[in-house]
Amino acid sequence: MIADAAAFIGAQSPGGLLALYWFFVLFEAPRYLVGSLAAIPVLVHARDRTPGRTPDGRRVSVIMAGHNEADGLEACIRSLRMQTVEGCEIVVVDDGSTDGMYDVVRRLERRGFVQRSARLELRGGKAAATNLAARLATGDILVLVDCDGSFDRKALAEVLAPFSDPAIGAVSGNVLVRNARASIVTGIQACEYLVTITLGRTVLDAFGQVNCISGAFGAYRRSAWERVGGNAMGSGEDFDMTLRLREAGYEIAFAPRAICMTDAPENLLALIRQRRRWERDSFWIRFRKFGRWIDPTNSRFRPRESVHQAEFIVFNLAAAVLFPIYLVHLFATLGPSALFVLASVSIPLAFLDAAIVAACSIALGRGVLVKAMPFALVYGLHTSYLIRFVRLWAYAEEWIASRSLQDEFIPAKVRRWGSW
Amino acid sequence: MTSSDQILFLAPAGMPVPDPLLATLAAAGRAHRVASLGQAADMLAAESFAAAIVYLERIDAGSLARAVALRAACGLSFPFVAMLAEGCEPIVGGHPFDAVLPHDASSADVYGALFRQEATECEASPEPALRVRVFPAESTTLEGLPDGLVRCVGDEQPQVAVLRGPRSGRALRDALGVVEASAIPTVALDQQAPTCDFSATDLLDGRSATLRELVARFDAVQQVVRRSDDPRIALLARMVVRDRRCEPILDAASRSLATYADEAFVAPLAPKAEALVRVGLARRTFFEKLHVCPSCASSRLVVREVCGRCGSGDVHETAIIHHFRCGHQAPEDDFRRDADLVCPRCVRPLEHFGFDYDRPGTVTVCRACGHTTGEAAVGFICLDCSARPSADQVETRTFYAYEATDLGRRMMFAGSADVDLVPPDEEADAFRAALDGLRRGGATPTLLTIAIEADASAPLRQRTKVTAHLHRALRELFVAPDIVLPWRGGFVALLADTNLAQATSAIPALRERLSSQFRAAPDLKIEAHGFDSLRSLGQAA
Repeated sequence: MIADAAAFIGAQSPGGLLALYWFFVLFEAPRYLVGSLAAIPVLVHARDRTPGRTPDGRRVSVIMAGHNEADGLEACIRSLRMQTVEGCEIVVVDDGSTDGMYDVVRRLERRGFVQRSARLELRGGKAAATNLAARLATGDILVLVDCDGSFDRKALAEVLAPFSDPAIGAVSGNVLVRNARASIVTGIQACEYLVTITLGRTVLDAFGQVNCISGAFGAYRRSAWERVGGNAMGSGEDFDMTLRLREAGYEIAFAPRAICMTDAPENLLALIRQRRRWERDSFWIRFRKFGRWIDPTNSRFRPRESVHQAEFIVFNLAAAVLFPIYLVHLFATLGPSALFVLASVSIPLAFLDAAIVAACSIALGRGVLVKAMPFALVYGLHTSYLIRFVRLWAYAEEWIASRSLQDEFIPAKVRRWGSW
Repeated sequence: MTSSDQILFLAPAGMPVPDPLLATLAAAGRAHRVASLGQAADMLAAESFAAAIVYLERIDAGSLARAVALRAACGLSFPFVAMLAEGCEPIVGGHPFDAVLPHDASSADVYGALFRQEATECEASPEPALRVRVFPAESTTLEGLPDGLVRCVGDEQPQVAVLRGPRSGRALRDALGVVEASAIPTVALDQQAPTCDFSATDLLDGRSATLRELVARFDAVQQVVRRSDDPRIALLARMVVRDRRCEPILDAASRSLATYADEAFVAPLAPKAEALVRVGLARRTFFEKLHVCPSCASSRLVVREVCGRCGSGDVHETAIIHHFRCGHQAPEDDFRRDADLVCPRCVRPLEHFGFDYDRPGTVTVCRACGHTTGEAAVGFICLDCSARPSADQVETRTFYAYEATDLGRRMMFAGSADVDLVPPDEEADAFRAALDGLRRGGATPTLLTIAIEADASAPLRQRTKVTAHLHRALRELFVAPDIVLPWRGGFVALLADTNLAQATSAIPALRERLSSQFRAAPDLKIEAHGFDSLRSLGQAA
């Protein structure tokens, strides 16, 4: 049967091959050719923004807000205290925790590891809690981190370096998966983060198109933060903040060597829940809040912003919508032989993925991540099949039911005010 | 009855005797225990007794008959008292006893039964007068005191000390032995005298019986105990004679905020009481734990909230407001527009608490330096030296109430002063044990002494932390078979396989490694000693 399928494919004309592989030509080839292969040299020769001397930490506030983060908080703060940049202020807001998180904060405050803190008896959501942390902070640069992150010793220095350019309003740190070996799911995500964040944002940075600062690790010029009013209510606050900063005219940079590590979901269900939420946020923020950037007739249309909007529409939205159609058509036409067509692309790409992951790890100077290379063999299936269907599901439920307005990450008292 | 009288004590062989009864018997000085009526009769024939006590397990015809027979043998000339064991049925009529006491009768009850019986037997004979000595002036009369008190004649031992004036306590201590001066019941003739057990008014108001109880217990304290000059024995005797606890009282006039009334006679009281507790002669119960100024050790501290950064007391708590609609969250002052609340971000008014905004928490803001935090720190002001220590700088001092244990009471009444009140030297014992252990293993260990040249002005808690940290560091550096022990405020390391030359040459590196463990390295004095000098150290320990 395989031989028959191979013979069938080999007998196709160029037009026939295009008919078989059009989806991959349209949506996968650009990703691999431009997004990955070309990105590695860019990563290696990334703009060296590292200043000649270590930045002065005394005007830097590291702020974090969390709910029930007692377990990982101390390790995160100790990691921040080990930075090469010294003298930073650390501000922690406990957003209505019930696990004793504030006891940890107080203990660290007594030892001088935390400089300012606040405890909220009632949970109000991360966006508002981060706004309070920013309000209490005194630094000229606000570094927002998650309460369970851990950081390379030079992470702060690297994320602060781009601010020597006054046009820079914010910098996205690089996020890698810490628990890559916990399961196959986390191993695959480790590869995914390398490709989409490290490589992807490196390319975007080269073209001034960084459109999302990681909520786990990002730095903001205080004046820029205040100019756009801090976090807005609602989910996807990191993505929303980035777009508001871009609209206000600020440049957004990416610091690939400002490395933060975080734990990824360890099982498939948790991963799907997480990605549904992220994709819903992308949909409603891009189309409902910043839809003006895809409407050239809108007075607030920004050609520069329309580029990443178009990229999203083509490679995320259209690909998610068309992929099931492509699969149905392929199977309807070829029957079981369709599997061979899919495999004829997926298998070579899997090895290419593995090579990309390895090269990216080495370029980043994280040789240990080469151990994630085996997971890269299934990373393509994860991205092409699982994530695409999750996206389609998320886009549909957001478009039809505005599901993001029912996100339980946001307390009900705040959710009822959700709108765009 | 006096301490020279003898008591016949009838009880089955092997039966344990309640402590109060034992104390009374010991107080009597010479108690003769017999297990049978026959033995009792023999004893009666051989010696004269002042009283008889029968300890009964059960009431039946046989035991009553034996009691009747014994009474007949004793005659009716002296008290004949029964004490019932726990669980024994009460006696209902038809018994030969002058008094029947329950198993839980106190020693005072037992004694009283004998006294009352003595008074009953000798109808016309009054209670014996108590021998009194007045301090400091011998010429002072006993005017103002009730009858029944007579001045000591010659070298008679006083039973009561009457104090007049502020110098009377000193005169008492100068005149009597350490233990007697502390234990003797005291009566104050005026208000200038130290705090006494009774005042003249108390006695005139009818508390003479209580005084006699104290005197009885005082008389029961054995001579060998009275002759001791150990102030710890004096404190124990004082507690036992008064049959009460030494309990502190809160005293705002005192720097320590708590004082013991008994310290007028035994001072300082707490260290002596702790020594008694350590050897089981006293027990302690928690009274209070008070904070102590690290500068002057006074407990007169005012506590208040302060800024954790600058220490200023000018802190105020302000609510946090969360505006749901735009997500802005900040101290309430940011939202205040006169009487209204307006969001500084979206400029919308906040109108309905719980619907469009809420107050999820508070922050403490220092007006002096602007520092903001979730909770204010705690700071103190010392009213004696004006120091302003923080919460983690103040020490605490715990006060206890002390009372004698049964062992302590037996010591007083049974006459043993052999209890070694010197607490065991645990450090020396551990050192000797470790040294012996190494020697048995064939080692000739070298000793390193590590002393901390601590800053005496540093708070005790800080010095304790440094010592504990050093101990941890030493335990990590010196592993088996080497041994690290606390020693006289510092540490010793017994090095099993290191000779003196090697130990001496390693001292600089050791000092550097230990210093690297501290943010502010303490001054360490490290010396090495060879085995020969080690033996003399061990013997000296």
